[in-house]
Amino acid sequence: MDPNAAIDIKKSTSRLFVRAPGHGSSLRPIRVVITDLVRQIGFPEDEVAKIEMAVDEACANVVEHAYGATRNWSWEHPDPEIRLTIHTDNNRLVIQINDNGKRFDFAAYRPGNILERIRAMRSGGYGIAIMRQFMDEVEYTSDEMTGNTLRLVKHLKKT
Amino acid sequence: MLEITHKPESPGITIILKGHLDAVTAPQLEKQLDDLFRAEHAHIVVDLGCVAFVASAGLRVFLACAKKARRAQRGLALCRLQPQVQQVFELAGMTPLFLIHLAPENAHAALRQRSAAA
Repeated sequence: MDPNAAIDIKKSTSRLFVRAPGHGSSLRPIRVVITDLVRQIGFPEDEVAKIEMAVDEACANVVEHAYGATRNWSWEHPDPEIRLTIHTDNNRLVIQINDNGKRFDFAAYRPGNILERIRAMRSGGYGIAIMRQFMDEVEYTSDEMTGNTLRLVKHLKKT
Repeated sequence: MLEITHKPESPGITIILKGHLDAVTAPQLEKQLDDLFRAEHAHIVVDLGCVAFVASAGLRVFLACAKKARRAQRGLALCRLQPQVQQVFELAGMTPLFLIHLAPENAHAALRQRSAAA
């Protein structure tokens, strides 16, 4: 996939599928798709900002780390791409982000509370802390068949 | 994309940003701020009035800049944060670390006053 190509969006009756090059140029168009969608779903602006930032952090991690310096992705999937599947069920927004890059030991990575990190003026570890703080559920799995999957969930609050 | 322009405001300088501050554009801002620190301006005001999005990579640049400013005893202030950007700073707990003003002239005046009182 051309790193400068536009992202590919497909809709089914219940899901939105996004395929984008695993490249920094994809971050902004992915943010636009996500914010448009969550506004349509009816999330208030403060929640839109949180979801936008969490998804951006997740996709930036794929670009920087999964497909980063070593370019160590599986040879069966030589075309580095980010795939997002978005749907709602049981009053939850579910955003699934897949890549075939280097796996990450997500469960073991505990950068701690973001406010404590900021107060201590530490320079890193904010991306995952932001995802954990801004979303209701964050789950990461990795296997040979499907690659790496990050699942971000936000509950739809009734007003 | 991020456009960066400067406006001298002796003894300080305003750095005006336009666009999105994400993982792709943050290194560009980091380099610019490093250059401005080396140029030994008494203080730096960052105008975020035309910045629609700030990712954690952008927050890291501001945090690093705040550390350098503190070490070098230089003034640093942010101004004209759009509501969604202000919210990101608040959600990340970063507002207490910065002087944040509505307009660049207010930010420069506050930094001059602070410097005179020191």
